[in-house]
Amino acid sequence: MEAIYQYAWLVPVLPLVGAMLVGLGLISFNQVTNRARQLNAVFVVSLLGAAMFLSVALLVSQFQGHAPYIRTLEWAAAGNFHLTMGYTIDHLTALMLVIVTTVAFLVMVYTDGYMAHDPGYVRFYAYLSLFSSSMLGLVVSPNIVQIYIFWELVGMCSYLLVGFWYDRQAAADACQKAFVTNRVGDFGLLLGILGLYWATGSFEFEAIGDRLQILVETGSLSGLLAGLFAILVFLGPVAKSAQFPLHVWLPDAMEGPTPISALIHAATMVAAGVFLIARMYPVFEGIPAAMNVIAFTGAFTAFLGATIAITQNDIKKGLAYSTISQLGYMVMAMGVGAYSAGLFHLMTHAYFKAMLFLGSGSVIHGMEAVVGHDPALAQDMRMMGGLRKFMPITAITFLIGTLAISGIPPFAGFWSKDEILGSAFAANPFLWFVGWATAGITAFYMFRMYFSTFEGKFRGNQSEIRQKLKSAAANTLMSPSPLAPNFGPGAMDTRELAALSDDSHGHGHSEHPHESPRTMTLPLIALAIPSILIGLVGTPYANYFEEFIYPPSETLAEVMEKVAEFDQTEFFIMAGSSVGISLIGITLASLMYLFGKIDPAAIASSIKPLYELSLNKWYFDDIYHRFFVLGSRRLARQVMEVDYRVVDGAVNLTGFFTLISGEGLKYLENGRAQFYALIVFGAVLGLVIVFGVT
Amino acid sequence: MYDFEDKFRNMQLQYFLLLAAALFCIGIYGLITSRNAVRVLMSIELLLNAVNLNLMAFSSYLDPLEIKGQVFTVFVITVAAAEAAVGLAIILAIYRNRDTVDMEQFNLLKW
Amino acid sequence: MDFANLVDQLNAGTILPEGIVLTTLMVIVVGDLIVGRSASRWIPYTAIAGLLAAVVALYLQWNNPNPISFLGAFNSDDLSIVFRGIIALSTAVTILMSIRYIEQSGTALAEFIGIMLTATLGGMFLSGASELVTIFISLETLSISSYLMTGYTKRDPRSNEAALKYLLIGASSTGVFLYGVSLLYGLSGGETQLSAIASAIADANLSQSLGLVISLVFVIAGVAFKISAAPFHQWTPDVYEGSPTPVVAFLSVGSKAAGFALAIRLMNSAFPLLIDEWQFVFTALAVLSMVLGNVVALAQTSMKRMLAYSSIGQAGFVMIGLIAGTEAGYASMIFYLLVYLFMNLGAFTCLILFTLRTGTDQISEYSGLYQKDPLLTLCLSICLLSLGGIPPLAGFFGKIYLFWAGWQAGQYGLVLLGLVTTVVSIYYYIRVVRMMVVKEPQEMSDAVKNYPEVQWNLPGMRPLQVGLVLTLVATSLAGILSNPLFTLANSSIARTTTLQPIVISSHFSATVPAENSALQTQQ
Repeated sequence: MEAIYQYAWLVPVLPLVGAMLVGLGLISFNQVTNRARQLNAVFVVSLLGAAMFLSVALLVSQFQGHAPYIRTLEWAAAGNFHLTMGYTIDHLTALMLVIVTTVAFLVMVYTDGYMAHDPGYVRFYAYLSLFSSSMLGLVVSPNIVQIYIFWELVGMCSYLLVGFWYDRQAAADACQKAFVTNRVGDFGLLLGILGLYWATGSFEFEAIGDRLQILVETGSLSGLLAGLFAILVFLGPVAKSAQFPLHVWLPDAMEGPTPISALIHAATMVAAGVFLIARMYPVFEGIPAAMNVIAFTGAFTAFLGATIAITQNDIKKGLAYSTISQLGYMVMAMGVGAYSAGLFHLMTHAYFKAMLFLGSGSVIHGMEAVVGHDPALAQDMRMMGGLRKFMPITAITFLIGTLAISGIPPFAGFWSKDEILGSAFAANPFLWFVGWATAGITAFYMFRMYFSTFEGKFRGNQSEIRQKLKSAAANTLMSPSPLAPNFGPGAMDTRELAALSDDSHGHGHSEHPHESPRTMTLPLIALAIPSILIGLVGTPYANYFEEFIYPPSETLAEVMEKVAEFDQTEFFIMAGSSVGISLIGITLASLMYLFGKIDPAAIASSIKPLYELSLNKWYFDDIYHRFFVLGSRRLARQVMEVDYRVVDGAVNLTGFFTLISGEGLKYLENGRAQFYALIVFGAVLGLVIVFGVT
Repeated sequence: MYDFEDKFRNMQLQYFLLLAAALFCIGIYGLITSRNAVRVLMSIELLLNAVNLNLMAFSSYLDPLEIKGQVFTVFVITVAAAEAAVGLAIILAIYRNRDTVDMEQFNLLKW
Repeated sequence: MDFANLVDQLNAGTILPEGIVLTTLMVIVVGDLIVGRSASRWIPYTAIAGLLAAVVALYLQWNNPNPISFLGAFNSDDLSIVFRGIIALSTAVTILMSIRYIEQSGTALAEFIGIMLTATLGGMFLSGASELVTIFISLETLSISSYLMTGYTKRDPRSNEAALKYLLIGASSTGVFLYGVSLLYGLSGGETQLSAIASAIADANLSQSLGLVISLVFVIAGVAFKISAAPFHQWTPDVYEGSPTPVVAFLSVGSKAAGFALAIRLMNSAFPLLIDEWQFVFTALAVLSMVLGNVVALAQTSMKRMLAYSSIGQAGFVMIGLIAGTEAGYASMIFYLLVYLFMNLGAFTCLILFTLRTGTDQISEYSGLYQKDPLLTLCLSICLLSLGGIPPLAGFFGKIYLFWAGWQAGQYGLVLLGLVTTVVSIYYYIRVVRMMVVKEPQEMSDAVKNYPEVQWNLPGMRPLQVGLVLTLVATSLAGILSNPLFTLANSSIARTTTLQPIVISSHFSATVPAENSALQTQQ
């Protein structure tokens, strides 16, 4: 048993090796590597598979009660400053390892089908592998510095992958938006880490928490400051887990290929924020103000995401807002102290949301056969409908995911969501109410999505809708000028692009969408199983999950006691009410989109302001654009005008002076050896004189 | 004979050092002002000989038993010969390519 | 039996690594003589094998309980072992990159490698030399071989000129150095061993005499020439520009490391009483080097010349560790030199590769290289960014350690200047990276437009590739996994006894000048 712990470092290293080898191959033998597509894919996938088996073994061993394992080695030591790095395997880590590796494994298998025609196929696998490695590294980190390093790496992979189709203007913009938004959060996180180190002198989670507690109690650190640090740290998760107000990047990030959306922007990376909160729980726990901030941020985000998701027509955007909403649930759970409930939801959500995204990818893949490679058409639900006939497997799995996210028992989402709502009710009924209402909205928009995609009749060949969407897409683009392929860093060459457009011609314009290839449907089926069943490990009757995952400040006995306190009637009331509102949502959705009894357009026009509010994403993008982008531009211009001569002048002068002095000093090298010798002797003489005088 | 050696001993160490210093300065002057590359090499020999003089003087006044300075001098002379050989070889090579040994002409590499 | 006795008495086992290098040298020279031209196929690999064997022998001598050998002329303590290792490794990597270059320039490879091994031998002996004659001889072995290598492409007038300049400046600074040494010999009353000199000076209470200060300044001038510290740097850009690029690589790493080894040993063993004075001189040199090197590098158009100025600036950074004078300071020097070995040699390997393929080394000709040769671009970018000290790379940790040690030792001004000049240096390193990466296809330079197809199977290209990948991996990994290097640097300092007295003597010298000034006021 010890052996698997000693080799646990292989879990993040194996995918890294894969990424490195494939990357090196791409750099040095580009054509050969690109030709051996499947070979590369099999190599990368099998390495990740090995990591997955190791993770499962670790989870089993942890579940059997093996003590947490930490192995560190000194990374940099100078004087009394020690920085260690290594890995730690405890319950939380083991769980996360299994989640990440299984989802990543399935997504990689899926990618083979989805990216089959893409010229960047091999590059995509290299990035995916690099991402998996960074994410696994983040999960096993024993201290906050290492987490931060991997946090940035994970972010970097995310930008690389969002901008994977960098020749699309939207993808490039989205990548930039994600970068800037995350920078805000990461900066807060870094400040928080440094502040906590300054206060406690430690980078270890438990030590920070304990010492902070003592410092605050003895009064040597004001509670205000401790709260500030905690909230600064929380800014990191806010950005990464797309919480209000930094949620704006996530929907745009859906410009990336769908497997990325599934793996990074639904199942794993965005959950890293929640994971960090869990890791830093010893810190947050002792600061009620911080906990409140976390809880209310989460609740508001959950509501916000759900309300926006109602009106989205792009299938991936809709799922993105639903992800934001679900992440809000998790964060709220963390904030109200429902540690294990939050992580439980993280796990169930990872599986069903990955499945939903992969399903949407499968739909898009099928639609592309009809409408061609145009994201404005292929992803729009108004073009879909009736797809169940053409792609039954996708439809069934998507329905399972929809049921799971809507909280219908016995699907996975029900148990986790119910646990969160129960804890929220105990903490603050208002939070419960928000969560409860959100659950209803969730059920409504998810079924709206399902019905308009898979039921009814196929609308993909109606040219008037297509025309309308095309013109709408053209209008929304700020600059409707034809997109000139941008050859920046990392650019493919033109031949590849030509190959891409050839593809779309040869591939599109068939009458009906088709079911996706087996490499894509198999992962869907595989993910459907946990989406149905995984919730059963955390039923209130036999809550194995809570026995396994509990806050570091509690002992197993306390947890068992709590679990034993379970009240049957209370559970039925809570569960009943949340299932009830879900059912109301589903009924509403079916009336509107399945049977057409209620005309959604009529409702929309009757509550136009609200509809517009939702459709325009609560105007966040516009507000940010106006306030931050334009505002900062205006401010910058004013500052520039005022300080034009002072600051700019000074900076320019320094730079100018440096350059000029460089230019000037270089003429001291006049190329004459004897002049050089003169300087040597002169310098010696000068130094002697200096000493002679002093 | 004895008389001479006595006189030699009575000569103070400073004179030798001053002579060496003067030789060193002449060497520097020649090194900096000569236009002919061979003369520059010769000036370097002057520098080294000034050092030899220094070493010999110290050796006989301060270290007459182990005469480490004299040994040092032998090494310096040997190395100086090697250096001069390499220097002349380089000057020969440059003369073949450029047909001149004028130091003023050697400024292809500058700035 | 007699010979064995002699070996035992002299403790000659300590120079086993040098013996290995010497044997390799003989094998190469004789083998080339017997076999002729065709020998150039195996000669470089023999040389590399010999150098690696020497490194292994050095490793086996680690923590030698009895390091003093040859009656005190050679000291094989851990400090010298690290430096000798750096020099041997730098030669090994340099040979990897020189094979193709020398063959393409149409000169004989065996002789070149022979001279380079001689220079290595000189450098290795210099790192351990603790007696004036030994120091002089090994210094000259290194220098004269370097002059020969600089002028090795003898049909190229630029190479000739570089060699002549190097020789003249080198010889005159040797003259200055020797003059200082001769004064030291006299002032110490006829001692040539460094430790004996120090104690003789202390006994004679000479620490304030002008003669000693003169000899100190003269000696430092010789050392500063080797490490190309401003204002003794002026040969550097010209020589770097004119000489064959592999030679430059060796000069910038191996030769410089030997210079630093000499500086540490000489200053600590011979001048412990003048610590304030030599620290002052080196501070002046460091300030000038950092400012001049980094500022003038901004105005360069040739890549080799820019790297020359950058190496002057880097020498300035390394001197901070020397000036700090603490154990951490010396350890940081060693750490930085180890890191510098890989990143600088990596940069030069890329340079050679680019020159071989395009025939130019103008910075502007690099524009748009990314689209033609991503591997070269990646390596050069990583090495340059590491030289600039960009975080996850090795150079960053090296700089941080140097600055930290300097700060601990109270050299606040120097460290701040170091930080400012680092920012300046990042500017010119990034300029090259940006030139290579961000350019649009239409901005591609002519050299890159006509870039030949990348072929690694030409003779001599494989070793170049190996060197490239090796340095790249070392540069990128040494940052993240820096602890073994840290430990190596720290333990080599901690176990070196000659560096210990400095701690005592610095306290000592703090009190002595007070007494001396009291004496002077009485006079």
